[in-house]
Amino acid sequence: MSENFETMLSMSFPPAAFYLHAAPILALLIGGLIALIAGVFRGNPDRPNMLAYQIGFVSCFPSVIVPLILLAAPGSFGANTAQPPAWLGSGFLADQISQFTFLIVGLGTMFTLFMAEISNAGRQLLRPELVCLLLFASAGIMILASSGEFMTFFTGLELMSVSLYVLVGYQRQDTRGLEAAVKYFLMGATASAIILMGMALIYLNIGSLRWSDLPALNISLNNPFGVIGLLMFLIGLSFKLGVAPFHTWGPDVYQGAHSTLTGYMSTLVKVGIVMVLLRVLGNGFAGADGGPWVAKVFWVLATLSILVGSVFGLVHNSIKRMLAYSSIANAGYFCLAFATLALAPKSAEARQAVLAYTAIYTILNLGAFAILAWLEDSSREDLLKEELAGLGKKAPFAAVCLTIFILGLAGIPPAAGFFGKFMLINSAVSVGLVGLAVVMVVLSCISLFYYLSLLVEIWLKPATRSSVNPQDNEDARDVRVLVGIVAFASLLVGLVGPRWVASINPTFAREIPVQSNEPKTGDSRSENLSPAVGAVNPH
Amino acid sequence: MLTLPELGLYFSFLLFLVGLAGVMFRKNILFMMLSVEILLNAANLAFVCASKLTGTMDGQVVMFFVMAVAACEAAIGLALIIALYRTKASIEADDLKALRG
Repeated sequence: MSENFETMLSMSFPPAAFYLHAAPILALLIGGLIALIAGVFRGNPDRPNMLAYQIGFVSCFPSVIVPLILLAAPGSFGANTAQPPAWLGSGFLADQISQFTFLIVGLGTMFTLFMAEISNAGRQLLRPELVCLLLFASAGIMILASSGEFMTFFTGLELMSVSLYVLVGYQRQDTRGLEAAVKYFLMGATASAIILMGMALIYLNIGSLRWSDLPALNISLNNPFGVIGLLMFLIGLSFKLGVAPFHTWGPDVYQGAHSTLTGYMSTLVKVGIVMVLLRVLGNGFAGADGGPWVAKVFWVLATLSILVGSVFGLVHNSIKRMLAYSSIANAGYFCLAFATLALAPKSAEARQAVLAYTAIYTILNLGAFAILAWLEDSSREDLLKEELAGLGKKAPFAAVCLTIFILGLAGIPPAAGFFGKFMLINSAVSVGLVGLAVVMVVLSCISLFYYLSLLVEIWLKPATRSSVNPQDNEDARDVRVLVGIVAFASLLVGLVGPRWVASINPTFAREIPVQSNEPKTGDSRSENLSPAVGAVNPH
Repeated sequence: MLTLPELGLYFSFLLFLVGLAGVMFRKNILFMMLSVEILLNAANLAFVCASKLTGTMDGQVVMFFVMAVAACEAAIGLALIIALYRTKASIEADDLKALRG
């Protein structure tokens, strides 16, 4: 009896190494709950929400420390072995891609919390609910980036999305924020449903929810359910990533949300989705034309995204809208990487390029939106392009940092963005996507117009009456230090980042098969499958 | 002759189309939200039918997760709609034009 109980315990609880690997997620979830309770206790009357903020900040520590330990220590806990393990039935993959994501998301969350704490407008936002929602959203991103099958992925996706719907409409009196939240909610929920329906069709075909079983999917016109299912799945994810032609919610939501949160949304959310697509595509597809078919889908998405991002950015005056279109253009670059991955799923170079570009893009966009949040703080919401005039004279430091970020997003050599794009295009050309690479580069040149028009406003135009007057007080000093660190980091990552990323082992974790008396599921599935699929197939 | 799970599968496609049309063509945000719920339930039905057709249990487990998620989304959506109604006194999609786009 007791022996039975012990075996049951050992079967239902994962080993200790799991808790170390998953510590970032667990700490964020527990920290979020504690932060919510902490709102009840009021310590310092001047800063009633300090306690929740501190709890939130501390709960991000594991997501920085644990990945650093696991990425640095060779051979420890299976993370650096040739075949990293997975736990919870592929629900949690303990590989270096997961740890890499945890590190980015942890640092990004700490940055967002810190930005909210040191700016005036941010401090009005910073209530225990904000801390709780931010931590839950980050935990959702981590869950979805480390999931190896659909159910965990969907849970993480919804944890992230539902937290974000609330965060966008967090200022309940602000009509624009609420409008953005409602739009985001309707679009996001529809996208979730499309992902779900797509996965139902894929599941109908392969009888499994694991990404590692996706190569069993027959991609050809004889199998319309499989093709439509995969297409719906990819379209749903493109919705969440903000890829054109599914980008329409992006600019509205970015403009309506508070800048601190916009920075969070435009970067970390994409990190999670990008990692999912990396895992889905990295397993490869069946048949000789499976991979090329998926690559064609991403070919179209990449071209449309870079076109929309470059051209529509020109006509807008609001800086947040311009940055939103810039992030659509950057999503186009991610699609280029996915097209590469679809053609060469096992290519370590392509996977590392995606990781490097994700890190670089996150740093650049977080920094740019942090400066915007600071400038908005001292004047008003939703800055226009003209209002930056003369910033180079009034606040040279902020102007220099903003210039570094804008150059990076545009992909001009000294800044980090160039190296990321270089790696992406390099890996794309090496698998034969020359045409797409040329399209990307040519259309990027169009986007230079609006990036450079921002720089012209900052450095060359004289200040006018409408231009911003950055606040200069104690808060501003903190912001300056923080933004300076990010600007420095973006340069540093641009220089040493590619080499560091090349040291990351991009192998996906696989579940260790459990020793049991059950027949091998893979075989029985494929036998059961064919009549069922044949029966529902109208052809 | 279609078996029951296949019939359910085709019915779920129909439901999905109805929901999608509702999200795209309805102008009232409350009805758009209800259409999203129809979409989620269509996917649920498809998962359960696919589970029966493939002889695996995964799909039925997904259904329970999705039901919980749909409840969360409904709660958040209703809260947002109420907050919107309080500030704008309207829940028509056409009145959402503070953000140009």
